[in-house]
Amino acid sequence: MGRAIECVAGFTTNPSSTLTTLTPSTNTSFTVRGTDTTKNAWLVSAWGFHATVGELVIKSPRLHDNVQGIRNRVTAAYTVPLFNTPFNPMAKQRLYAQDNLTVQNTGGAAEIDCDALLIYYEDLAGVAGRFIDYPTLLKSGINLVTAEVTVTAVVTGNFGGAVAINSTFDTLKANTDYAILGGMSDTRGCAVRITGVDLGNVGVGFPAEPSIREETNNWFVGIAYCLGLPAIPVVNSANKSAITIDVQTNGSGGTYIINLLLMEMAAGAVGAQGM
Amino acid sequence: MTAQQVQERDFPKGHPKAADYVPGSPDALEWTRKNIHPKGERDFPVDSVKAADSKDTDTELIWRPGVDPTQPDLEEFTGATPEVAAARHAAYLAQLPKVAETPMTPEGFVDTGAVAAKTALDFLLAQGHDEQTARVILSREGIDQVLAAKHTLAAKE
Repeated sequence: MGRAIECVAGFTTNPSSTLTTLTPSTNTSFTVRGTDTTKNAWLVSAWGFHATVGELVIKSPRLHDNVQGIRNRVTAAYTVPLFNTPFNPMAKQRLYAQDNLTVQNTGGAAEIDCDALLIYYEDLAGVAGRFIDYPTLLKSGINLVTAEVTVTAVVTGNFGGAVAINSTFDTLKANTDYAILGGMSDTRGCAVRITGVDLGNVGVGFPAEPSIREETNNWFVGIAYCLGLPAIPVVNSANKSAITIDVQTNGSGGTYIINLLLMEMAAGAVGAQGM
Repeated sequence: MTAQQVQERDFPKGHPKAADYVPGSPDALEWTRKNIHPKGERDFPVDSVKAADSKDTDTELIWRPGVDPTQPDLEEFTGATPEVAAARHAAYLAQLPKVAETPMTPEGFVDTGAVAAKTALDFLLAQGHDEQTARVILSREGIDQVLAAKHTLAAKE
């Protein structure tokens, strides 16, 4: 099973009150990736970072409707999940391969407004992300450890400032699996993204919201627990130089201290493709 | 030794049953304010710092996440003074020209190899090599070796 979780983010410039289609971050797309149609893809959650209050609309003829779809108010400067929070029982919104999601927002008249979607692929051809479920974490987790990195964001609305997981402190044990439970940001932005070869070079992500640190710190555990899916990413420290963390935010940019909460896993507990 | 005599009142000042009760007097009004609660049971006694209707207490403050309500001029979440926040922002802006968007492959995957290669190259340049020499070293030693050297040096600092 080639599982993947992808954080797809985009932005609009000065959308004001006009529903404006988001520009996806460089070389990403709001079109659902091509998957085996017998395998499921799920819209896990979405959130937005608007300096001014606005709306976020996610719609498609293949979702409920192509008129308003999943439409939510995005309150100003508060990057929290707009539906399906991983801290409560969640519902599954199925997505369809190659479906071109229409993602629009409104917001300020003189700013970049960013939004992000989190998509779960149960089987994405060519990708072999390593993900475990909650029972595996409980069974095989050994030690908690944090990885702290500093990410200097760009101001274009795209992901930027990627640094390796060991760029600040190089303390991970050699050739050891670490489950990424979640993370925290000290500065408000749109999305923190983590990727690496263990995740199929597709980025998993969580909101860059410092006021819900106790929730983002457990983000992937929440998704795994609430959706009943293997959704906790696992990376191996042998690949640490190519496990990167970057941030997407608005035109204000910023320097982000990101703390990832990791769980050292027992040797051999997690297979090459997770569980 | 003479015992100290304390004059004991029949009822508190302003109490309707007190012998010196004067309706409408300041004492009567104050007693009424503290003891008559026409809307029902109070959360905390009158004038308690925790009572919702007490003035000049913490209960009147608006506690926004990351903001000290007694020092709202400080930067949210960092608590930095405006001067420090401005200096940090200036430092960020100075770094900005060197910060790049995350390299992506045309298929939409994060090009983590390019990130690692750039980190290794930046390290070699910081060691005093010119770019051509740095690239030669990088191709000869490989990214892993160069980054291992970087982390070894960083650990000694």
